[in-house]
Amino acid sequence: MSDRKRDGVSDRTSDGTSDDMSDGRPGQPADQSAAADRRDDSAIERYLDRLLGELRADPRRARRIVAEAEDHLYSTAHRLEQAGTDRSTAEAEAVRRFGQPTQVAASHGGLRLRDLLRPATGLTALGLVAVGVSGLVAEGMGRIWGADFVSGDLPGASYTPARCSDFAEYFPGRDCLTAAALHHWGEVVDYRVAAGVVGLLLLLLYRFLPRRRPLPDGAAAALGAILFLAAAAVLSLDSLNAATQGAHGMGASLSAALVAGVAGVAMLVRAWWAHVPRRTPEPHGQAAT
Amino acid sequence: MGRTASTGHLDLLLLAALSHGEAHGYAVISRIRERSDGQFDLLEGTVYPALHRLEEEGLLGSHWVVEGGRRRRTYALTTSGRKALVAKRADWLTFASGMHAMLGATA
Repeated sequence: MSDRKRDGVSDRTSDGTSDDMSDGRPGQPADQSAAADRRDDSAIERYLDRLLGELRADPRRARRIVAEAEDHLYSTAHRLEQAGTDRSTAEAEAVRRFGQPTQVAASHGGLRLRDLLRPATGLTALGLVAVGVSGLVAEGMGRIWGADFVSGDLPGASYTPARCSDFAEYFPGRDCLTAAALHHWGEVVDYRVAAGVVGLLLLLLYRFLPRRRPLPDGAAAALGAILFLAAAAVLSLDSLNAATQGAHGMGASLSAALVAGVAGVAMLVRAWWAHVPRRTPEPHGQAAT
Repeated sequence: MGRTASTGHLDLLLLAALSHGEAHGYAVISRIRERSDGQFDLLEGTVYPALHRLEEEGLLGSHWVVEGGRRRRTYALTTSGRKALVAKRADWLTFASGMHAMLGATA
């Protein structure tokens, strides 16, 4: 045990009361007291779990806050036990005096706008990567079912002669609508893949952005799920509309809807997993009481 | 004054408590309660953010010690903290003197 008293430094108040808080419990070596304190049914341990869940702080700061709270609560409980209070009552009183976890966590400060930069960058990056992947899916669809399936025009569409000659330059020997579909298929794939590359670069940036106060567990994933699934729904309706008119150009929306749907489901699972209660492993060697 | 001390004067209370020597959070709260004869009985969990803020402002320093198998954060005044305490104490005495004169005149 380190010696906290130094020459010239007094831990005694003017009336002689000592605020020296030894954590050694009666009849128990001090170095065993911390381990003995931690019981699964401890009010203090439950409190610390709640406090950790309420804190919006970077990991190191959160660890410091919880460590100080743990020390304070057990010191209070030990002092009350020494005064004759039973263990359970002492812990409950210590927790009561410390304050509600939500209140204590709030007093350490909440989210600021700059705290959202990292999760916003991450979500944007994932969105762009999803666009890139949909481009690859569109490429595959075009190879299997033809360019008209991906980016063909709806019935009744037409182009000016000047525009048709532009298309003919890229795809000589094809009729105007076929050349247009081929051209637009290339654009769909190229632009989306380019967006995907930007997304990968953003993911790299996300990797190096400083972690500030984190969002509540699963919050970013939940927001991502909502955005992706909403996009999947809208795009699905659009591809359905194309399907009812001969399936020309259906693939552009369908490829995006498929990728958005998969990403949305993955985000939903991630958000749900963040709130699944974890079973606490039994302490090694301790008999059940 | 009731359970919650004036938040505006919390910094002065904390600096004054630590002027008697370095201490961890529990000891700081105990000192304030005992030296004020129970007038200032702070909501314990909300003192630590104030300690952290004073440390970020350079008025306090802190370090970890290990006691009883548990980590304990101990705080102490810095040189800037001692100067700030002198200034805040002077401000408070001026305020208290004026208030005393005001209340005394209308008693």
